[in-house]
Amino acid sequence: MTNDIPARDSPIAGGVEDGPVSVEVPAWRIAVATLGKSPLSMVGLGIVLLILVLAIFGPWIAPFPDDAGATVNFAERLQPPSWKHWFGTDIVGRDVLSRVIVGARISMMIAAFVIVLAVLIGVPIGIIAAYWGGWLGNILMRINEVFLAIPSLVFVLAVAALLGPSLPVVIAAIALAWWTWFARLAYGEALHIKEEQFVEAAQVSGAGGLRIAFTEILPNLTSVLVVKITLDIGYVILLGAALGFLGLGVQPPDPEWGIMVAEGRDQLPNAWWLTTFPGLAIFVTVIGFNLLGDGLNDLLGARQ
Amino acid sequence: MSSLLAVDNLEIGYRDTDGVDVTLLRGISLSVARGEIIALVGESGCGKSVTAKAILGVLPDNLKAHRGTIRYEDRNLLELDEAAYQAMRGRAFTLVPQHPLSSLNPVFTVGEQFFDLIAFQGRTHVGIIDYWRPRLSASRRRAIRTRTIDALREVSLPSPEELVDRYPLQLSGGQSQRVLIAMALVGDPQIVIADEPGTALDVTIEAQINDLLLERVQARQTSMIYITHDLGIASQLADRVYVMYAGRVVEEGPTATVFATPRHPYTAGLLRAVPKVTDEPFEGIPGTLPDPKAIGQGCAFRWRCPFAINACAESVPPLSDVGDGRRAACVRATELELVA
Amino acid sequence: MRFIFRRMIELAVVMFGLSVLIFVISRVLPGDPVRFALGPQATEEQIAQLSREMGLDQPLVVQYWRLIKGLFQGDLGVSLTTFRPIAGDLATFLPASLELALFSMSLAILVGVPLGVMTAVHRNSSRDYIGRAVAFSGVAIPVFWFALLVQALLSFQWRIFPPLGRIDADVRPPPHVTGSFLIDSLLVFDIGLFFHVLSFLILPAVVLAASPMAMILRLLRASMIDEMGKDYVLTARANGMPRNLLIHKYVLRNAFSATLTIIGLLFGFFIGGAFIVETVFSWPGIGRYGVRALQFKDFNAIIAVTLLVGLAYAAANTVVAVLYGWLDPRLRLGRR
Repeated sequence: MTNDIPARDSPIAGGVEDGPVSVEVPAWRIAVATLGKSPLSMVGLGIVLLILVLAIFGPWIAPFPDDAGATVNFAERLQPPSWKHWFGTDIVGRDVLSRVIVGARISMMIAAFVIVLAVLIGVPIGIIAAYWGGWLGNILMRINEVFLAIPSLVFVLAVAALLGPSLPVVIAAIALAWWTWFARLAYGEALHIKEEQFVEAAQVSGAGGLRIAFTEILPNLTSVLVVKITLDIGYVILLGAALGFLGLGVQPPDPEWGIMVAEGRDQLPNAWWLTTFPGLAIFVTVIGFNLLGDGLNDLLGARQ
Repeated sequence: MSSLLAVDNLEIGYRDTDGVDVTLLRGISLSVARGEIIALVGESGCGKSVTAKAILGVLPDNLKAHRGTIRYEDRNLLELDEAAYQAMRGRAFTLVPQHPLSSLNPVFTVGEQFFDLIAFQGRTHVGIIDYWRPRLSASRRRAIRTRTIDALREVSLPSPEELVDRYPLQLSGGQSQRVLIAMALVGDPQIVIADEPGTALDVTIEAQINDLLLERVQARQTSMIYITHDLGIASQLADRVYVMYAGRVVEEGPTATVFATPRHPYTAGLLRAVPKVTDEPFEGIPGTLPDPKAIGQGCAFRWRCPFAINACAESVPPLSDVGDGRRAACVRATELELVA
Repeated sequence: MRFIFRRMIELAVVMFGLSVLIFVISRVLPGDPVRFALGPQATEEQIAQLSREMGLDQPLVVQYWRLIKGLFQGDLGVSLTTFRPIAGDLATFLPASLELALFSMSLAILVGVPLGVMTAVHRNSSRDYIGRAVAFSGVAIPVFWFALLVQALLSFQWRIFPPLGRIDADVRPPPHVTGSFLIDSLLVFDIGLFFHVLSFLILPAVVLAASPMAMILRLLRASMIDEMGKDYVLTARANGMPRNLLIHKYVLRNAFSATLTIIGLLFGFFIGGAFIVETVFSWPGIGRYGVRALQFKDFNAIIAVTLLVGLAYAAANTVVAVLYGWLDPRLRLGRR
């Protein structure tokens, strides 16, 4: 009973007497049009673009760029939000808005490096495990399971604490936990794609194993990867901030959002702006990546 | 013969994401008398299944009936409230679905699914107390089980006592379809709507299922609306046939006459497309169904019709009497000499 | 049964791998735990002596062997900060963590499941939009921030709930039976005490439940919608199956097994969240103990907590797998 309702994108009629004629519309234009129709995805895209702009141009946008570091200005300490300081000032008089703006770069940097590392490690491992299978695939996936055997946050906390917290350590620790997700994803998808006709065709035509794995399977993974990466950027930011909050991530005086929330903790509930705004920044950023990821998922998932 | 169910000039459509209204059924009329078997025939996408869903009142939320009536006995179903409609499902009309393997719930036993149907069929709401009452009464449980086993035996399933405790995944496609037929008949319905019940099965099983349906329906004096794209099956089963194309009935009449001397070029084309045992070359109808948005004014078949003339693009030919108790919707219905 | 046995073997392999991983990270990577434990004023002799006492001067393989042997004897070593046996510490803190986790998990399920069903059934209505907004926020909200805001408003500002701890310092806890203050207070029919400990439990539990609840809602909504489009739903409707029975029994059961497959992941978020929530609310559990061990680089405690968490996570996932097999005959009957 499923076939009676025509697909939404069925061919569009030309002249009536010519009969129904299908018009080829480029895939990317359909994609843009579809994404444009979902207001939530557009909100997500807007937030993501804003964060990217802040991450790149933060120090030039921030009203008091020097406040991002270890400056002190006791004359203006703990001021509530005002026209001069939209988000108020902290315990040593630094402008919270400026610190939040500059902090975008730290969060995005963590997320970007982690995702790049995780993809570079995880995807090849997943593809290799799926494509060759056998004992090699088995061992790779067992190792993967060991990393999955412990919740990411706990694992990352342990590694960060043991190595001594700093920005590179945070990135390395999260990447070490995160590659497993990409390995799993690539493994599942590659197993699936492997069965499909065109790989067999490539095998018959005499292409080498590695070549098949990366020229035939990888391109087919991209749409799934794009969605996963978009969603994961949000979660990595969340994780990085949690580390900062517990004092096991990036260290002060860097204006990392999690640290700022922790620093404002003792001033609650009176100087509420100290914790509220940096936390809000994390919240909004993660929502942005989530909305965009969901939009992309509907879009790319529907086309498959 | 007075009709038990009569669909009159039914129009159904939806509004697409661009806000354009699309019409899927463009004024369907059909009727079923008590004990009669009719067939709806056409290519997939012509509106057969939408018609069936409309009668059963299970259209997807975005599909709306704009015009027309569906009359059962003397009530217009389109004006019924949900409770009254629900009371008729399974009793007045019922469905034998197209895909037997996915039409039973995979996580409950056959018996469990029959239990709820027998105990609560036709109700809109079952409270917790209502739900447990028949389950806690040993005699009621036994009665329902007996009825389930009887229903399964009626559709010639072997060892129904064991079958009640099986899960659907332990059944073959043919067995599942028999279970579904038993389920459809358990409320003693007046009309069985069978939506391509054999299409998903292999040919010998399909023939068995059709024989079973025909036998059960005739034994009970039940009417049947049999939906198919296969003219061969339609000619074996149905008293009367409705040929549908792009949301309209293009020809209707007694099965034998329609197939012997079709009056609509589409019917003739369909008949030629049926594979025959002889060596005659196989012919399909070239082209595909038009986009419902693009049909416009005239006859929807004009692009694929070998006999199309200018008049075909001007207006929709009405379904009119062409003799022998038949009606056809073609401006040239009486002048063409069509070969089946 | 064979299924459970196989699971146990798998679990043992994974736990072995995890112990090696954590051990390697803690011993091979730079950073001297003893030096850190004794502080900057420690002399070289003191450091050497403590290292010997802890067996840290032995080859790595010997150290690992001692760790594993200790594990099987229930000896997890001594904390490098308090110099107390870690096993005893964990036994003290575990009941509080379990109480928080189980209470919070029930909360997440009891709220998330009905909301998931409701939003799926009333798709694209205002209720659906509100439900989805809640779900989106729940997944994206930083737990530590949410915890602080809730604590600041409801405890410090409006003084509705106590801000920190599990029980007032001057209130005697109920006699130890299950370790859960809630249950133990009920066992001695002390209703006042029950509400007293409940008032401490509510805030951390709600904060901890937020994100898993949101995930349950989203997953269940998606799989409910998926299920409602299936053939068996149409057939059942057409044959007169009551709508509420169809949705709450037939569709939900299918959707729930689909959700269960991913619910294991949820425990991960749950345990991670507990570390933060326990820290913010000073909840005397494993999470807070773990964070402290991490902050003070208490290597032995870190290893012990990590392994315990891994074990809890694996156990939870095993329960899910068993439950899944029980819920879904397709698995039980040995076909895909």
